Amino acid sequence: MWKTLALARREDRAYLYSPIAYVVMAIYLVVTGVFFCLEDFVPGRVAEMQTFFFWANWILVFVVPIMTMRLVSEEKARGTIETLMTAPVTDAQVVLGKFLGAMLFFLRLVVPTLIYVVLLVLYSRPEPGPIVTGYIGLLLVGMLYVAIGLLASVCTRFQIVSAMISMVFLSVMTMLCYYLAQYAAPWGRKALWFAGFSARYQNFVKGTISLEDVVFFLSLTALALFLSVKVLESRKWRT
Amino acid sequence: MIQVKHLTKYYGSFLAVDDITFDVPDGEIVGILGPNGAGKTTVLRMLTCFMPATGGRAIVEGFDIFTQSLQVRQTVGYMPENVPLYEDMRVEEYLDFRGQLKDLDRTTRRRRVTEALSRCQLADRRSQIIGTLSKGYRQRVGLAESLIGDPKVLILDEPTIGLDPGQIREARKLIQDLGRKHTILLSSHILHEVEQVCSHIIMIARGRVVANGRLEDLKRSLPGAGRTILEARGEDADGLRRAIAGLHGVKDVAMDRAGEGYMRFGVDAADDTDVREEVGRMATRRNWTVRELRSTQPTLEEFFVQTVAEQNLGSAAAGE
Repeated sequence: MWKTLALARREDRAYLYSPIAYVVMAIYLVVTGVFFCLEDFVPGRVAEMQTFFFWANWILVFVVPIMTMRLVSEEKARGTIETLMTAPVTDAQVVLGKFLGAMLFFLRLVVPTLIYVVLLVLYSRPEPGPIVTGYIGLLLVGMLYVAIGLLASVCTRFQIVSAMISMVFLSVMTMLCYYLAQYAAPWGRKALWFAGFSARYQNFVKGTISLEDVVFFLSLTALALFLSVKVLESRKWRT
Repeated sequence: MIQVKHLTKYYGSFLAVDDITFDVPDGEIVGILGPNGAGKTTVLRMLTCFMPATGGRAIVEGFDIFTQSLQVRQTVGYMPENVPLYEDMRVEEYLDFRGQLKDLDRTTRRRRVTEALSRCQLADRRSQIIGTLSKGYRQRVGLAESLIGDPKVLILDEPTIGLDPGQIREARKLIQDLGRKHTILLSSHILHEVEQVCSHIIMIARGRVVANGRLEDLKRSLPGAGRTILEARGEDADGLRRAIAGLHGVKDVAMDRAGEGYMRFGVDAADDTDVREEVGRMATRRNWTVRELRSTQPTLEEFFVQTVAEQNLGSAAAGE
């Protein structure tokens, strides 16, 4: 348990030491801030953060892969994977540690946006419900994206390939499913709506928490983490 | 101690390690010697559980590398080739992190880190960022890291590679010092490094063990006695050469100039025949002035180069 936390803390520190982290944070906050100011924080509008949450999710599709690409790819490229895997830690501890470390950085990304909530509260009387569920949804979605990014990173020693794989996958599962659903036949629409990430996230933004949606995100996150462990283990039997 | 039994490793269809068996006794410094590509790093990686073996087994301090991998990794201090480190961390921070991975509590960790820093002479660099360290210091950080868990066994892959002569000497001293408390298995392709530090040598070429034993025993058992070298000045060099060649037990005589009018004769004799007396007598009987007469032992280097060449020829003949 402590080893996992030690690994997580090391990953978080690695993020804080790297310039990419700050670039990513800046981009995220600027973009979400711009949309918040233009759409949500406008006099006469209903006091809610719908536009913010909409963009907060879609920016993540590009930002998270850039965040997670270094998690394992860099270790493989630098050779430090050898010192890591010859330490008395299990593959599961390594994956979990890296996941938690990345999530800690994700929180650093998202928590500053709470200032928008503060602003909203100062200047109006927003409905608390959708904002709370919106952030819950953002957290769940973030966990899933980070887990998928981690899986992509475990698969290759090239960071750029890892970023591409997860970006493409996330784009398909969010944007493509979302848009195709509008043009598909009724049976297709239902399937895309079911599998796509955006539709379910929208439920949270609207103000509803359904067990089905929570289980959807958590179980897919668990699946991605499980696959990461398996891929890491595969070096033992791969020729 | 380490017991390796019939260890084999295939990379796909390429046989990198072929049925290797050896032991590393407690408290000894053992060197795995071999040319590049011989399989040294692969053997070490299997022993440290970074890679699984394709066949055979090995026991490190009583733990099987295949079934008790976590315990092996807990007991062993490993320094991989080229010492990969986290460049963004500070030395002390990194050592502390490795200590956490070895499951040490905070007090023990702090103590071990301080000990490792002082043993590897890193105390004045403890807050330096690893990425800014020179190669010599990075090597010391790698060594310090391997010591954090107070391991019984240290496994070092090419510990002196890339260092300048001064740094090599320091590293050698450090390893010898560590050898007093720990069992050490190191690999190298630099012979005289291994000769200076190790008590046991295991020579590997093309994935197979070609020699295995204590340093003195190996030297004594090297096939062929040494050469006898004669440096003398006189008349009729060819005549003297023929006469020496005709001596009992002499296989071959090489002759060339040694400068200042002297000739050098290299006399190869059959095993165990000491021909120095006859050679000296032969020279003085022909009125040659002798300035040097000595016998040289075969060096490990000659043996090494010879066995590697034989190995390559053998593989070529076998039609690889």
